[in-house]
Amino acid sequence: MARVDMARVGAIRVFNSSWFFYLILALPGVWLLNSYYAGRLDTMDMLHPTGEYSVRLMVIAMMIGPLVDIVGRKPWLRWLLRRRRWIGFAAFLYASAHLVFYVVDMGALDEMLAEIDAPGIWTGWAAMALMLFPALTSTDAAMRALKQGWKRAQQFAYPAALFTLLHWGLLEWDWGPALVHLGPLMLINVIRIFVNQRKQI
Amino acid sequence: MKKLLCALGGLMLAAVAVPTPALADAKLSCRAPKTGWAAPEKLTKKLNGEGWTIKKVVRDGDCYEVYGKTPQGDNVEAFFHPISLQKILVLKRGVTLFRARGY
Repeated sequence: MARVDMARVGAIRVFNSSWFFYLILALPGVWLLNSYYAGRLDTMDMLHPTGEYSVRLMVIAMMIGPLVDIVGRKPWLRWLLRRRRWIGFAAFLYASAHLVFYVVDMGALDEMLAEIDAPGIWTGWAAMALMLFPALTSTDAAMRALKQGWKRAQQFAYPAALFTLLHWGLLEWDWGPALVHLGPLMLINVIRIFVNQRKQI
Repeated sequence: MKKLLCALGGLMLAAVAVPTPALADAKLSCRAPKTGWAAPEKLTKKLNGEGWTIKKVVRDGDCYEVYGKTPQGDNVEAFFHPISLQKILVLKRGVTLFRARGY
């Protein structure tokens, strides 16, 4: 019995450890890089999955707050809340990888500048620039230093998500996939507004 | 409260599900049969001859999708009929540069 308990305690400890969570966040990246170096994926093929994982993580990170407002501070939500900054930062890292592969794929600055005016492209640059604010202020030190301003810096994630939606929809020539990912985030925020209004009454 | 959440959840699903088929119409069809396709190398050769630089040719639905650079130097994603090799649609980062009449 004692041995079973110890195994259980050990499993819970692993599950709750930060390195285990980092590992989960890194797994898609490891898998993608492995496929890239094994030659199964071209530079061009890396663009879509890195972008998509970035969006998924961004949406997950940004849904935690509204979910807490809607259903209350459930234990599993508290578990996620403690990890929210990591998820958000991972989204930024996947977006950075997305940009790096774009640069490598284009291969030259003038090529990139030649298409920067395309709506599908400049919206991506805008999303990336906006993500810099929450990403670069995601440390404890930044949180302490910025005080009230910290929340505002994190809120740049909202326009970043909007530009990401535009970037994806315009490039894909099809709004379906982008809306499937970002639609729930928009709707949960609408629900949050209603719920918060009801709470005030 | 639970009823409200269920209703909103349903609304959420509907909002995501309903526009998707409508938007799917925007996806291109080359109106080609599934078999009897020309070899992708044939398309690459034809386009190289016209001054294109080809990165990749893949099957996308009932079209050949080509990633590459046009003779004018635009980085594009272009769609060709897989049998006649007719140019159907040319997109530069989502902006339509060319679209064949009737498609």
